[in-house]
Amino acid sequence: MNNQTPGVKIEKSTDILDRKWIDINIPCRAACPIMTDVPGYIKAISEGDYETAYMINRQDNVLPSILGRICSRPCEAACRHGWDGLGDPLAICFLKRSAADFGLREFAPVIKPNHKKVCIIGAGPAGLTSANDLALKGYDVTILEQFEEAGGMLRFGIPRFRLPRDIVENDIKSILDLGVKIKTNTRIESAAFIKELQKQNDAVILAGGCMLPKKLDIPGLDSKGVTWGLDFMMDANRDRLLSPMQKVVVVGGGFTSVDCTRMAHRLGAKDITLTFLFTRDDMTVGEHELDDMEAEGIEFVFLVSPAGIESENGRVTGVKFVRNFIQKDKSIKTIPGSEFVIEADTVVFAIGQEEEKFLPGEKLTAKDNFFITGDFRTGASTVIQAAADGRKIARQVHQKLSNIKEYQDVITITPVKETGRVRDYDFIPLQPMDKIPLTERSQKEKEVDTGFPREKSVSEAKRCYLCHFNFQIDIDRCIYCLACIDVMPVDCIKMAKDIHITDDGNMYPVPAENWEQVQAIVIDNNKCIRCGNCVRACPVDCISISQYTLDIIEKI
Amino acid sequence: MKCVIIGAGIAGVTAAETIKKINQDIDVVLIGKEQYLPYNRYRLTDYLCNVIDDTQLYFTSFDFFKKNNIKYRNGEYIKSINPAEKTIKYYHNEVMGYDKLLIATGGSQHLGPILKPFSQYIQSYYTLQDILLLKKFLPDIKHCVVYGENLSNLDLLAGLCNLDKKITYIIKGEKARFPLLKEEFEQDVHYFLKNKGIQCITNDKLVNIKKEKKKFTVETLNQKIIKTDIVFAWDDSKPNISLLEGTAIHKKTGILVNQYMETSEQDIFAAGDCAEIYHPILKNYWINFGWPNAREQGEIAGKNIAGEKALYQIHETLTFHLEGKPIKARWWE
Repeated sequence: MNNQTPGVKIEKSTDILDRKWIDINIPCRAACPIMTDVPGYIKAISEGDYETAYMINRQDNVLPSILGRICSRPCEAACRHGWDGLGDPLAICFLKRSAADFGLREFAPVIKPNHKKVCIIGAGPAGLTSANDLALKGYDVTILEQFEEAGGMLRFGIPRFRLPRDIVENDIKSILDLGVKIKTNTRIESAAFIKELQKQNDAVILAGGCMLPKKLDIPGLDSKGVTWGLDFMMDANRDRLLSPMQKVVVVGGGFTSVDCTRMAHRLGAKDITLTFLFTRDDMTVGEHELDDMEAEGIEFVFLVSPAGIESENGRVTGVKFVRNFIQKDKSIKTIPGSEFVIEADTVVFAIGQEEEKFLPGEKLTAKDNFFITGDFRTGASTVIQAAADGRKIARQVHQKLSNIKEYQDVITITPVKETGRVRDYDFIPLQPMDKIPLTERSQKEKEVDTGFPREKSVSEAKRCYLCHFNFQIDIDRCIYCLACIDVMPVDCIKMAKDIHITDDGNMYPVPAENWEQVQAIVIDNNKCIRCGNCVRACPVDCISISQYTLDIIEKI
Repeated sequence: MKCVIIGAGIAGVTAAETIKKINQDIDVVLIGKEQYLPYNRYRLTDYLCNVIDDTQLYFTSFDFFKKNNIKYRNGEYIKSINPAEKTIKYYHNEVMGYDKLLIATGGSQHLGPILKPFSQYIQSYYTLQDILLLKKFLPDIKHCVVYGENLSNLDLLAGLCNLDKKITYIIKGEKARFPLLKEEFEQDVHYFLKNKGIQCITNDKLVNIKKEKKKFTVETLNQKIIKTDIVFAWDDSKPNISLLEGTAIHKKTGILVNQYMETSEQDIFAAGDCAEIYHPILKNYWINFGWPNAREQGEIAGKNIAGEKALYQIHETLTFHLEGKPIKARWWE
């Protein structure tokens, strides 16, 4: 749709204030580690244009079908629609999935080879994102993967009922189609091997992830039936968990611990308990997953620390816990004499993962064209954080191997006539995700979330405020009739005696105390919900709208 | 000093009264979510069954607030607290300051993730508003489905039985399990329900509700289909603590307090069904749901707010107070 105001020029800005405007005013985009253009693709969905929505995601976050299911969704926590008095945040993640469900198409940009070779160790989300970005720049990329298939945690750490395998394969295929080669069953575990790779390649990126379970020291860990979170998930995903389980206790408060409990439900366990050192609010898992757990009948026990494993004839019979007390500084302390036992035939400790320690004593650095990315570099994180780190390191590699001086943020400011939003959209309720019935939750392959149908995704997309639009009043043309103030649904338009620009780039109107002081009428974009009421009410057409988009360019 | 009390149940009202008894100079603002005068929640079933009239329902009067110089703001909902600035925010965005704050927001019936999507079809049974509505349309109701195993369900079952309604009761386990301690007692209740003619569906869960004209169709996990006129269903009782969101006040299921009813945040207290405390005999955190406990905690919080030092004595054994009366005597005799 050509919505651009005729005769008005598109502006390209590198002004730091315009860059900061994006961070302050598009909270979803600013919260996304990889800065996905969230309003851009949601607007496309609201217009039924799933292909555009898919392509925005394919370019910005590389793994749209995967992240549309299992992203940790920092964008939703930041969404303006969820702010005080404005209702529920948008279901951004589910919309990303809709873009992939209905808009998936071949991603085949023209690539000009640059005849430089990069080797990436590890085909998880960080390695795959680096490979994607470097292949697009013309590099000859080879990924070495220790397991039999690519995907890393995506394939082996996350259960199929949350992330089906064909979805993982589709997103990986889209990257391999760019010419990326992959060698599976190739494990690198010595510095000597890395040095060898350095000789054969222009750069080597280590994206080995965090595949070692963090361990703790309590008595009885060697009992049969005690296992570690990632091992449990990998065995279950490879159908190697054979011993039947009835009573399962999982210790931990992250994604893997939740996945373990839900996998145990599908493996036939009857009494499943998740125990955590802190409280529900401290869990790093989204509320929607905790709801799924609760629906599947999994019990929670909070504020407890494991103190030992109870066993009989070498086989676990239960876990001894001690209750915790939260101290003033938020740290926990055990309560003496509060020990109790939860019976169990299987105990899973999912208390985090760490990287394998095989790097050489003599430190390899970017100087040697050796780079580290993803969880191996940052410690265990989320898929979107790993992908963002993969992109960051790919940029560093490209900068090192080419003649780029620096990357620069460029903001495109496009004047538009209208946003396409009407005030009615603010009253559309949050669209819930449909799920398979509880009777089908014993199948470990069956995806629980069924995805939005088209109509639901369009309704949900219409809820988006489209925060990338900037509304401004042209003071020279304003006749101070206050019609805009009469129709504003929130306290977003102010009569000001002055306008200050804060250090972080936000415009701050200093409120006028009486009519004589009024120097301007100002729209506070941080409070504005982009309903367009003011534009429609203005009798002299002095309110302009412009769309802000962000691109990163290479400066030579 | 200004003391703000959020929640006009028995804990909040007792605290307000206690503060005023100790020091008339403390300004007390009592904020209640409901539009009525504070009432005896545990007598709602009696009121529904016409055992008592509305004069016996209320335990306060406007004169009480006037005499004690307590500002009572009813029908007002508090959505957030800002401990750093010592303010609270009303639903209509009014901001009010406090020197000491007591949170006595109680608990309420909670719908878990399975029931939540059907909330529009579920009749709640907790407030006077619910009872007044039920009084209007219960005469036309013949069959009821009840689901959930906390004490308010037992209360409801008793009321519906007394009103000669046909009842189907869906139970998750083998027998009706109410939060009662003695196992024999628990079994008594189960058989008692059956003897009263209540159809009990055991080892099952309510998973779906559909509405067709004025009737509801309820579906269970074991694929039993029940047609009914009304559905009462909830998973459990939970403390009302959504106003704590965004604060650093320590909470578990409820607001964590010490024996002075102090929360982790200075000058903020909690009492009644929303407060959770560590119980050394149970070796667990514990919310002592119920009227007598709320009154006791309200009094202790009130004393501590007014500058006295009162300690909440954790009962040595967990005595089950069902509004101070034995179950059978209260409902079935």
